[in-house]
Amino acid sequence: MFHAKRPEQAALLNPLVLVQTIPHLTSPVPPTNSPALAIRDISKRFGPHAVLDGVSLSIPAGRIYGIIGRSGAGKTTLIRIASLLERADGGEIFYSGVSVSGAKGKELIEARRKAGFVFQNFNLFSSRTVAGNVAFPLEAAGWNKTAIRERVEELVELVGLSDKADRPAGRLSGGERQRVAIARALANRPQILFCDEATSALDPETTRSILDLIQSLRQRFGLTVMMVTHQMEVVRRICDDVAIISDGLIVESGPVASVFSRPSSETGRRLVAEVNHA
Amino acid sequence: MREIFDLIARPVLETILMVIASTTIAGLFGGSIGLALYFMSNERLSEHSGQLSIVKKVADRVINTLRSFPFVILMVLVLPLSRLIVGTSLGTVAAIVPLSIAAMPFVARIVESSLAEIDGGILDAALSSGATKARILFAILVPEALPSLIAGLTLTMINLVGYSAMAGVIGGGGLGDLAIRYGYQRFRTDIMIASVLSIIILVEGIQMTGNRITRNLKLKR
Repeated sequence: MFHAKRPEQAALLNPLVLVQTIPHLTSPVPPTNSPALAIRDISKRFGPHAVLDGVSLSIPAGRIYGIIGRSGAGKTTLIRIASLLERADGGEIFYSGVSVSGAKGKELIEARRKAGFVFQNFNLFSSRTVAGNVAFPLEAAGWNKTAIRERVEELVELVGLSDKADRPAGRLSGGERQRVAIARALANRPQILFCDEATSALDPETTRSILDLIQSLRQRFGLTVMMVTHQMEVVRRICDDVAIISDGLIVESGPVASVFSRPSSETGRRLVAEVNHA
Repeated sequence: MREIFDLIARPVLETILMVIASTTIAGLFGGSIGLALYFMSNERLSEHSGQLSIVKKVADRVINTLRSFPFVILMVLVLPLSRLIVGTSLGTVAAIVPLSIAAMPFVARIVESSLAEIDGGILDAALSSGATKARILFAILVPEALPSLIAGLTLTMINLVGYSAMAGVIGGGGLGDLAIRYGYQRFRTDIMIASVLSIIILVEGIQMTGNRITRNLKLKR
């Protein structure tokens, strides 16, 4: 009797296991072991210049995966392709084992609802209030008004802005704006959260508070996060795994601790050296 | 004084009718053209923006050609069209046809450029929210561009007040017609002054209303 209870207790304590064991929380089609996000052999060129040259990576559900590299390395293009904001010239994207990169029209819209995107410049709708911004993805998904109001209230509270819900989005500080953007990105309960330099426009203290928020959201909802950044501190603070990208190629990847302690690539060694000197 | 008022009341109403009717018609047609051009050329909203760039270039040329047409000439050129649409080429209603056509390319440009001003990131955010293009347009793009659209519409209406004065040439009525027939041809300086003053008041009124709406919209952001 005692033995029989153990796996259940373990599952309740660990949010990652929770997500994997409750079937309706994961995608119904794929086997349970398929990664939340898989990128296979993505290439993209702008004119003669190859921005991405066959990039592959996969992120297991519930992990925070950092993509780091210098400006112009192809990080932003990669995250825009992975989040279906841009199309690749070749390769495939899978969300929980389902290919989404070829989706068009209605399918594309459905696929986009499975992912949330947080931008460097927040990109809030200035014609709307905080609540109005968070409500937009729900309106788009056809929720009714009462359901939207309840969900918005819940989300605004989640990011700690309940007292500012009716303010115009433009009248907030940078950190508050990014919180609104995170609430908006999570409105449709996506499986994956894409963050493109989400903290690069913020001061160090606000950066920490936003990272802590993302970390706690992952813990609570088993969210999978792909995080593009040029800040090593961001990777060190919240990422589980990291990939270093240089000239459109992933030059090395693995758990943060091992990549940081023994970088095998030239770019990796230089990035790590910079942090240690700073 | 009473006589001036009696003479001027009807032309004022005619001018207002011409301006409002042609702004509405130009807004509908020109606005749709502007929207189409914006959607066609935006790489985030159109999968084929690359291939459509030729269509866009042709449309740009046509719009610029129409915009550079002197209104007096345009008015004469579309006389047959007025006859076809409203049954006559004379009078206030007939004048609405050339006025609308003259304002259409202008409105198309205003709509297109107001939308194009919106930061691409806003579009990214709306797209990643999983919204259809129609919803993005009406729930995000139009509200975001509203101050600039209102400012553009104000400009259109003021231009149309000026154009409508020229419509007097084809018997269009309105304040311009009054100024020419009474003020100029019959040497009635008082009526000339009254007509010009009325036009100034109309223009000021439109500008002030436009400014106020734009300012209020911006205050709420």
